[in-house]
Amino acid sequence: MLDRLDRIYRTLGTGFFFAALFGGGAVIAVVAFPLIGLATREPQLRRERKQYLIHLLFRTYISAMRRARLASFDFRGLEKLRDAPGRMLIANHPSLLDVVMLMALVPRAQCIVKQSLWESPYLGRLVKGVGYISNALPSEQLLAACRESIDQGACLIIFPEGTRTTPGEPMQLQRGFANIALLLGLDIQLVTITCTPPTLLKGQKWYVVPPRRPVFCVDVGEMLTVKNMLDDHERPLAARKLVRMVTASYKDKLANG
Amino acid sequence: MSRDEAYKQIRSYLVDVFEIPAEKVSPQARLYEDLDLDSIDAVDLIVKLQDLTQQRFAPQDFRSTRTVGDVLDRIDEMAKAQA
Repeated sequence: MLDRLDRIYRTLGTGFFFAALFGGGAVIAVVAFPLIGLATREPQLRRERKQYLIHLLFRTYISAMRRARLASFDFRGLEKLRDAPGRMLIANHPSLLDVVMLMALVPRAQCIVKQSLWESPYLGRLVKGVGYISNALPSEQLLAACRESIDQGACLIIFPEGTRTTPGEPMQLQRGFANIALLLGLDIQLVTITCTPPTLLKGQKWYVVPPRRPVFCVDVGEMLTVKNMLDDHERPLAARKLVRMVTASYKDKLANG
Repeated sequence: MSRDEAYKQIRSYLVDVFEIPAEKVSPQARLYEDLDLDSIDAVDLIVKLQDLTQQRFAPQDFRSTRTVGDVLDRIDEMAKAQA
């Protein structure tokens, strides 16, 4: 009985938070961003303020979810994020909350966003409004945008899987992150995200809540320095090696939980 | 440089630097779908072709190329245009 009540509570609660993310995102884009725009002339400062607003809201969102006992959160190795400005941060992408958690942890996050999100009626305005980078840009423009945000001290967040992990299929990383890191000479901070029991997966409906309260774990792992990878190899080959290295590292981490 | 030579050079570059298995490279092979190149790789390939042919190319010269054979055609055309 209690079990059932708990599940009903979590279903309703998850629904509320789900709606708050999409609805709230649209409201921020339509109301808060224009206000920031009015109050701030300088484009760079404008973007920084929007990034910071998202950070604060996502922090509040995560702590509200925690307080509502809908999920618990286990963040590890956060001290390593202090050096995140000017770096690339990559993470695997099991759930819908991944980006919310990462942006709650990183005050100034720039993110490469997939095209379908860019065009989404709810979150599209938000991601365009903050000035995140669309992955559909031609490569020179994409690189220039990444370089600019790094120069401005943002942390560049990329989910190399390109979209949420398809459960049960082997992890497939796109090569873009490796090329960007090698071209711009960026250090790569690895982050591993897990969720047990799994929830908010790709293709899963939000109202299918897991039998137990889920635990989201964000583990900030090692930092990869890519500069000397170009000593022995031309960049295309170095990028392929880097992708293999990172894939192996994730496989290892996800297998050993 | 003959078409055959150019093909050999491109082929060995694709195999050595892009780690493409030699048996997958053919004039009919599609760059993106069959050979798994991405847009940044394509820029690298163009730079390499410049070194190879001593000609200047712009990325848009290759916009309509889909296969390895298309690239060879394009190089031929450019060489004729400049001759």
